[in-house]
Amino acid sequence: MIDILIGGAILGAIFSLIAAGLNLQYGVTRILNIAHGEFLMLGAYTTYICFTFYFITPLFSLPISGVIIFLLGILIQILVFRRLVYLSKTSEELEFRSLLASFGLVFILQNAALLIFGATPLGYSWATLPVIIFGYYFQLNMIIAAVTGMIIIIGVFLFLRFTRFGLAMRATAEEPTGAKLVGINIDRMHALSFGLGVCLAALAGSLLSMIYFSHPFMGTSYTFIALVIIIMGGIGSFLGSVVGGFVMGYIYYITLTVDALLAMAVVYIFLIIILLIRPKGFFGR
Amino acid sequence: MVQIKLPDLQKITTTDILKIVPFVIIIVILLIAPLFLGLYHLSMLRRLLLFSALAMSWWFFSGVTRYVSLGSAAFFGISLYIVAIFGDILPFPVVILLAGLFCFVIALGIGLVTLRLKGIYFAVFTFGLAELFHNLVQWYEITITRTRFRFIFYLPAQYIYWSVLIGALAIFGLILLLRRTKLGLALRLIGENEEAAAHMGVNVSLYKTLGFAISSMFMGLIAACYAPRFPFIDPAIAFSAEYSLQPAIMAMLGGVAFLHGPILGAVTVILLNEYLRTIATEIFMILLGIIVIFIVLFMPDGIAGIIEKTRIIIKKEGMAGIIERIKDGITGFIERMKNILRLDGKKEQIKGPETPP
Repeated sequence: MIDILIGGAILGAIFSLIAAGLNLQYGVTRILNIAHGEFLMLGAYTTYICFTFYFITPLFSLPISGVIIFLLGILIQILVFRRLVYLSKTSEELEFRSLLASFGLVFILQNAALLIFGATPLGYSWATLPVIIFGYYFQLNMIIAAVTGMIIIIGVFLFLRFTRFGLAMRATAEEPTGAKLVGINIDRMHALSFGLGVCLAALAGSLLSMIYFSHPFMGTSYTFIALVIIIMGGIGSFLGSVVGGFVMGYIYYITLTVDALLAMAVVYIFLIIILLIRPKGFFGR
Repeated sequence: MVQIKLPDLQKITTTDILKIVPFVIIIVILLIAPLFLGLYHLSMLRRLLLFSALAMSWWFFSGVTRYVSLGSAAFFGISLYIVAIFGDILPFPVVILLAGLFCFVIALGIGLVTLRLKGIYFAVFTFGLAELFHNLVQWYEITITRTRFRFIFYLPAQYIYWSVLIGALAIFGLILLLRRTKLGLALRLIGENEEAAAHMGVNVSLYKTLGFAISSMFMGLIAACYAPRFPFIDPAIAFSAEYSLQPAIMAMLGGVAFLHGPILGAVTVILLNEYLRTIATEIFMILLGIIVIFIVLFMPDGIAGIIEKTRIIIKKEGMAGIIERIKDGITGFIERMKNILRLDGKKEQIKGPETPP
């Protein structure tokens, strides 16, 4: 029972980090970024390179991968998605076209990683000491990853809640025209929130690379889980994606202990139930 | 609902008949192709037909209504498994129809859950669909039947080719007919303006679900025709992501606004694939990604749209018009790049609505 409580929380912390990033992107920019998981994969590989070639402890390489992917995200937003925002007449059209553009990104990033790193899963062992909590064994790196993940989530929450910058970002998400009227530079907000969202995915990837092996196709399933979480929690709701992330973490962990092959099916059944009961999400407006 | 308006036989003129002649010639050449083509070219042609039919089926629903389905591989794989299971018991044509029926029923269920809702739900739901069926089938095979592979009966190469050809032609024909029915018109209306369609009394949910189910049924049919090409299948082969994404990309590259768009796109992508496969598959996939982004950004009407535009310009202004447009395009592109690369967020020359939606 206690192992489910802790194991689920470990998964939940990472899931909610990924989902919060996706939610930030979709909430502010209305861009459904299917390539979200690929940025996670890039973050994982960055940490892997830092550890194996430059001997940087994963915890210290977190800012490195975060900053690199943040800048990459901003670059992609400026080059691709900013243009789409101005080309599309309605928000449905923007969703349709950005979905396709991010699919192109999936192809590019996945296969570039495949070309560079190969299909063999790569990993490193760091802090694999066993930790005994209430009689159950956990690896130290899992605990570190979960705690770091939670600290990052709290940091982002405080940033969005209490800084002028976060206020501007939330204003842009809620009412773009109004935000523009009060002097917020919407383009800059879009670029920054896209970068921040992608950066959160990369941080989650770095944390995951401490525990699991990284491979070029690891991102897709995380993207899907994150999508289910933001639908569950409500699109645009930060709190929703955090709570949803933990709920999904527990569900996923319980399924993993029962039958690992059915994990995807359970996520799906959950999505169907949400769509039938409350498609707006539990924290949605 | 099925009210097909046949053309008035009295009004058919010789020019109408002449228009059909090229198609008849192409069909005849395709039918007798196995007699003079080698195995390599035959298998390439088979792939071409398969993907044209898949892209066309995808286009029939998603291209017209703009509800992007990313789960074609799910129906492809289901159909392959139906063939593997029933192939030895029932005759091949019956198995093909059975596979189509099965896909129809499953798609109907999916449509009922997701298509009542607007927005991203449908895309999200179909996004993981192939992966779901992959996992479910794998789970079933490993824990219940304890099999790893399933064999598909043997069929000589030219028979597989003919079955794919007949399947593809049937699908093209059916799509041409269905476009004229109430269903086809309703789907087109939904694509243009769903709210207006609903106000006019079109049962939007019904037609969306039905359209999606029929499109999936076509995918299942063509996959079943193609199935004997695989000596054996396992979940990873049957539910490969290739079959999910490529039909969508082909249809969009070709141009979703045109009937011949998906086929044009399929031909382009397959030929590109054949050429680049000798270098590296990864490079092909990266290039495919760049193409997709390029289409979305710069040519929303696809290849067919560009051809159409060029034809109109040539008709009106001759070759000089084309050269003029290309010059304008290049200078405009340089201007735009200057604008995009300027990071300060000012954008005087980009046309568009005042505020982003």
